[in-house]
Amino acid sequence: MELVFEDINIGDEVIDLLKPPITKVQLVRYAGASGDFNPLHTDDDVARAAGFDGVIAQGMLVMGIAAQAVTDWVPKRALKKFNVRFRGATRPGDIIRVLGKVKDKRVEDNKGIVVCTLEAADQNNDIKVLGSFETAFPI
Amino acid sequence: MADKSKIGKKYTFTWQVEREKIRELVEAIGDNNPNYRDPEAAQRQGYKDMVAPPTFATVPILWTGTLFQAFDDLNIELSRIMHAEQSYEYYHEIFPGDSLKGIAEVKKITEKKGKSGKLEFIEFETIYTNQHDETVVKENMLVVERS
Repeated sequence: MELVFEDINIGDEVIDLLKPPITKVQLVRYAGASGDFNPLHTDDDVARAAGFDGVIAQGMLVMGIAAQAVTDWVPKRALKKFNVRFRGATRPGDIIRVLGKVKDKRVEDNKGIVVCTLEAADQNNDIKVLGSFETAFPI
Repeated sequence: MADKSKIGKKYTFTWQVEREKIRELVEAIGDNNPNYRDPEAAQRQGYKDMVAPPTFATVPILWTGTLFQAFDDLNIELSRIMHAEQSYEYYHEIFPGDSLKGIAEVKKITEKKGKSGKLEFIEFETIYTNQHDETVVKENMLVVERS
C-alpha cells in the first residue's frame, strides 16, 4: 500500500528493524564495498592497539543499516535529509535494532514534509546511532 | 593534531557509478530493498533504473582515496579518529552509469576538552554533481581525533 502524507501522524512509530548479529565477515565485506580500509574495522591487532577489545564496525555500516530501516518505510526518492551522530562502537556479535518515530509534519512549497527521529541500539540497549531524517511527499 | 592551515583546502575527484558496486554495498549492509538491486523492480516504482541507497554517496570519497589523502595532508592518524557525525542532503538520485564529480572541502577544525585529553573535530563537506551538471547530494562528515 502506498504511503500517503495524510495518514502519517506525529508520534507514529514508523520504523522498527531488527538485524541479524553483525559479523567480522560483514565488516570485511563492508570495507571492500565502501572503500573504508581503516584497519580498525578488519584487523584485531590494530584495533587492540587503539584501545578496543577487537575490531569495531564502520560507523557508516551502522548508518547504512539505519538507512535500510528508513527506506523500508519511505521510498528513497522521498528522502531529502538524513543525519546521524555516532554514539558508541558496534562490535561483531552485536544485534542492532533501529527504531524511529514521527516528530513533525508540515506543508511546505506544496509538499508534505515529515520529520522523524531514529535510534539504533544493540541487544543491551546501548545506543550506537541517534539520528533524524526529513522526507517530502506529494500532496 | 590536525594541521589548521589546511582549512579551506578542496579536493576534486571523479567516480563512475557501477551497477555491481551499488549491489555490493547493499549486500554488505544486508539491505534487500529491490530498488537497490533490480532495475525492473525499481522501474515499477517509477525510477528509470535501480537507484543508489542513501549512504552510497560516501563511497566515492573513500574509494578514490580522497578522504585518506586529506587525513594525510592534515597529519591525522587513522587509528586515533572516530566518525562522529554524518549528514546528507539529497537533490537527485544516483543511477548506475552516472559520472559523479565530487568536491570535498576541509570546512572546519574545532577543539574541545574531553575526559581523557583534547579532542579535535574535523568537518568535511562534499558536494557531488552528475554528468547533467545537477547537484546530486551534499554530504557533511565530522570526525574526531583523540590526542
